[in-house]
Amino acid sequence: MRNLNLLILTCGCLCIFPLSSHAAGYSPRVGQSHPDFTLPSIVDREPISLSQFRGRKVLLIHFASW
Amino acid sequence: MLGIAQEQHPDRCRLFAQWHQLNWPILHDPINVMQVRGVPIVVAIDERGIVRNIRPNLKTFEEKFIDKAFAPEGIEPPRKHEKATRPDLVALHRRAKQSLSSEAWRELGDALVLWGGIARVNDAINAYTQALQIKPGDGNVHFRLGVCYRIRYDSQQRMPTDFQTAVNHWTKARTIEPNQYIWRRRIEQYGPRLTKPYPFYDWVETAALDIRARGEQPIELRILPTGSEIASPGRSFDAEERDIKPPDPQGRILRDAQRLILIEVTVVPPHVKPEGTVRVHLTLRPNNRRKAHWNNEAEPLKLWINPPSGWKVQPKLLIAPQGDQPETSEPRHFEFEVRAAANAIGTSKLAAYALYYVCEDVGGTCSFLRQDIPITVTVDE
Repeated sequence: MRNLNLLILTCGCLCIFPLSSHAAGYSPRVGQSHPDFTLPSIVDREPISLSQFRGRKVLLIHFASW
Repeated sequence: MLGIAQEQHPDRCRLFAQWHQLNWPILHDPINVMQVRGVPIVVAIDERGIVRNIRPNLKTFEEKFIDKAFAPEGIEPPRKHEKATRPDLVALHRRAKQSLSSEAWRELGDALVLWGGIARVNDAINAYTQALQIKPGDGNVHFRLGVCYRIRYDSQQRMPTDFQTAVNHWTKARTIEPNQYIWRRRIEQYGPRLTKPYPFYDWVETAALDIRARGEQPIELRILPTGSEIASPGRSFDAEERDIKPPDPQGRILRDAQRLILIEVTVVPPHVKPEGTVRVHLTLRPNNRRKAHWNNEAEPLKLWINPPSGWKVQPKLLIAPQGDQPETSEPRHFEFEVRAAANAIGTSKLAAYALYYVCEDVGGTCSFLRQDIPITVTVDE
């Protein structure tokens, strides 16, 4: 929780955007499965998938350091 | 916690994570393959992969998510560690060639840029170019092509026009989808102060100091943010008002006919409305083929900008710091901002020139030279 607060407070990009946009794009829905994805880690470029975390609760944070 | 960073340079995010001691995995999505339209977005996902909350309330989050059991029949045990795998580039390439669909070429481009690194960036550019030939108005592809060109610009494989090409593709993407804030921010990162929502990377220096104060070594950045990337947003255009004399008013200094210094110009954004502002990036590189280098024992490199009537510039005269050795060959970077005249329309040329002392080992001579730099800005109606 400390990290979540910290991240949201320190990101310079604290703007709110509508998720339920008419345009195509990222639109997770409460009660539905989150689509799986695989992206490289910023540390070693190794692939990490959301599905690797199945069986654990995940707080997924999209952010930028600016 | 699992983070996804929506930015061009992953090492900057690593430094940010080190600074704030974020000890959870962070993934890099430079091309916005997730298609998020802005950040931050926080999504709470349960043990079965079901979305339970979007932008959770921090006050009730523990009670409503952390402590809550979402699976009444019992929580699934964690799976055995299944390592994620990279996509099969050969299969994706085969599929793109066979299907001839823009999506297949786009997916190939995505895989090449995400997993192939700089070694495959040219292949990624080719794949995205194929996608655009089939579907020219795909904003996602324009944005991703821009990312590729900027990656190549930051590498040893760079071509002189790469940065401008990146900006042109980002601008095209923004025109197609003006409300896509991830795309918009990528241009604003390099753009004029008047259009910046915030300084993007002004925290980098403080972060490095704080990390060193903890006794740690900060992550080294491959490309240091400078100029527009650390500039604060501006509320007004402060034109150069001082009465500064041009350094070569009569144009008597010999021209650099052999191009001992190679100059690249990038205008961000590439076109504006009347009275709109652009930020101009100039990079001057000693020509390797001529074994040219800066002579740091003489006068420093100067840049003079002479805007057309009715246009304003800030600043008019720029002077680069000298190298730390008598002779150096590092690239030197200038940035300045220009405001178009109220009656400007079409393509306008700004007259600018650089004056420098340069030596070349091929002929064994050192000279004080001038190079005229045409800068083109397009003003739309």
